[in-house]
Amino acid sequence: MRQIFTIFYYTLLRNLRDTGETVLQMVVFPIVLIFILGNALGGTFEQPQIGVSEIGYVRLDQGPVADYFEEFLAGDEIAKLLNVNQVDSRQQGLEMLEDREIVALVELGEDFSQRVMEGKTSPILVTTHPASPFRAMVIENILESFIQGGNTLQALTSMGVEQPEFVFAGGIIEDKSISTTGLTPRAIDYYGVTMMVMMVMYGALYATSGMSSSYLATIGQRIKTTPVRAAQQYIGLVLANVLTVFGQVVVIMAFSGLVFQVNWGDNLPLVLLIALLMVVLAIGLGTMMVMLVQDERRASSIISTITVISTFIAGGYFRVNIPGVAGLIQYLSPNYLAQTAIFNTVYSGPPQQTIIMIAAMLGAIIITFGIAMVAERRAIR
Amino acid sequence: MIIKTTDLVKRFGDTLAVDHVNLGITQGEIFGLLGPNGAGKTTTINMLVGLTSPDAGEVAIFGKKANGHNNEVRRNVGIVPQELAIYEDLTARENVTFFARLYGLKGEQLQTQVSQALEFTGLADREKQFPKKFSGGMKRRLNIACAIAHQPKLIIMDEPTVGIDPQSRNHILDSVRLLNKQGATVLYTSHYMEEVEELCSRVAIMDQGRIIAQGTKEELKALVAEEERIVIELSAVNYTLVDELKAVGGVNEATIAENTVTLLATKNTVSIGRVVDVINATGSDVLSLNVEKPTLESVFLTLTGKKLRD
Ligand SMILES: Nc1ncnc2c1ncn2[C@@H]1O[C@H](COP(=O)(O)OP(=O)(O)O)[C@@H](O)[C@H]1O
Ligand SMILES: [Mg+2]
Repeated sequence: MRQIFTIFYYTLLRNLRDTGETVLQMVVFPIVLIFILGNALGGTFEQPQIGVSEIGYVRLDQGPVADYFEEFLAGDEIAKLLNVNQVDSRQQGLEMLEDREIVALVELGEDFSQRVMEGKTSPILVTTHPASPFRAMVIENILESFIQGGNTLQALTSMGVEQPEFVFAGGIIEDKSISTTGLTPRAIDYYGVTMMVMMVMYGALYATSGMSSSYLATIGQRIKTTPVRAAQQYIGLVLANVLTVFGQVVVIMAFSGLVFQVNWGDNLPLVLLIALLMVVLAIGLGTMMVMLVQDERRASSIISTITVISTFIAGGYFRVNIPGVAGLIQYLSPNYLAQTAIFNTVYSGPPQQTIIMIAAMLGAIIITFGIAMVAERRAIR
Repeated sequence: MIIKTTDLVKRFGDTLAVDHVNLGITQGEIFGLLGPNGAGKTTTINMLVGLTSPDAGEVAIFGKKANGHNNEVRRNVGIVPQELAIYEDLTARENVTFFARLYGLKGEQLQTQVSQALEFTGLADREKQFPKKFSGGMKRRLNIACAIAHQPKLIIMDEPTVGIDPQSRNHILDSVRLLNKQGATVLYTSHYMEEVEELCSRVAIMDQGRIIAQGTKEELKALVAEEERIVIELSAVNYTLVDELKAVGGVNEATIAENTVTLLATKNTVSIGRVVDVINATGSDVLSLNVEKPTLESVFLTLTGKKLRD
């Protein structure tokens, strides 16, 4: 234990000392990216990507606010994004949703206008299909802009109504993997998650440099001649690197949450746990790479390339929608696993999907460390 | 025996890096392992300390077979690797403390012995500095400090003086003597003949993976030193001189190059006065005269037919 702690402590000390450039790359850079992508590009990046989404619309309310809502949906801007299909009943809408004819079902309840005009909470029920989370985000963005958009707001207030509170009701549908989502991520919420995850992937570089100097190369060899077992050396190094990157995660989350109001949801412990798993996975990946190629520089450049590709296919830089079977390639991206699990947690997606992602990450962790150990044994000595 | 190896063999692909090496190092000595670059010294050491597994043969340290991980043995060995193995981003003191902790020191003893090691290597007043700022010699000394803070009974040094200034080198050589005086057995590896000659009591000469000679310095020199070389610089050369010098008792061979005459003679048999007389008789003056005693260099030259350093 003492030996592990010694390795751990001095590695951590070195990581923390190695400020300047590293802090710039690992903390400041992602925060700046979150800010830039979340704001400057936020308004424009979705529309050309997404195209028209089919939605179902059930109107049970005959009041005036519902008229406004329909007018809003019929607007030119909205028509580019949504194709509204009138549906007679909720039941019919859910069937269409299951058949993937539509990606979301929007419902106005019977007393919708009534409640709005009384200044009460007025739910717009939105049921989305979990297979198209990004389209769901678009739809929810649009609905939010209805509530908060200038014209509507003005119209409502001119009618003597306070700004209605926007609440999605949590309608659960029996035995279907269809769920309602809660709030909608804004661009900055989205990039807060993806850039944090990307930074974690770059954290694999701690493993490539740490493992090559303190495990493989001269100092590592020297440590191996002391009364320290290779496993203790290994564990101490991995723990220190995990803690270093996890510390950076916490800084990024705290800063983006407090300063940019990035939404990290209500279940912070679970989000942190997912981030921690991602950190362990990234360190495992870096360790595996350096053990496989036995060369720090090559391992680092491979890791950097993997990070860019993995961030890209996970939609980290901008949302990508890979149709059909090819979409499965996303599951190869560690970023995708972590992002999906975090979005799912923050925006109340189906819990089983979070569990699947976490399980996939655990599997990947075991595989990377397993390969790393085998590769190390096979290296000629 | 502190170290004993029996027919150690290590191959790297087609290279036979270590070829049936038998070494015996006894308690309290400074043992020199002398050989040119690529002789197999580092590979041998790596097998002694378990970094490389031998293809054949055995290693025993402190009389115990050194296979696998033996903390008891490791705690009592200090290794100064050939390549600098220190952290540039830890201070000198932190570097020494790090390794001392790994060797199991703690508490008061840790602090005291770390201070002693820094003192010993002349780094005490720079202990809070980072090695980034150190000269090559200081880094080498720190490299040594990291190996001695735990006060090992056996210190293995792999070319600890490569590429440093004479002052640091002398400091290191003095330190090695002092460590030895304090009771440590030292295995000292070098390709500098002078260092080994100056420092070590017993020497093994290694070349191309093999130990070509092993023994006290005197024993090794005796191997080759039936003869001594007398080198004489003359003011002028007369070509009958060679034959006249060969006729002098004890001289076995005489050669002339420009105005230098080299004699190979049976040890301690030649009268130098007689040689000078012969030269003067030809009308030439002796400008300088040198009787060269055998060195480890000449041992190496004789045994391998090549120079230690090219
Ligand atoms: N890891 C290795 N892989 C391949 N060849 C090696 C390796 N280590 C050493 N060698 C070769 O073994 C021989 C002995 O090297 P080494 O023990 O480093 O010699 P020395 O320390 O005496 O300079 C050299 O020919 C060297 O090239
Ligand atoms: Mg060497």
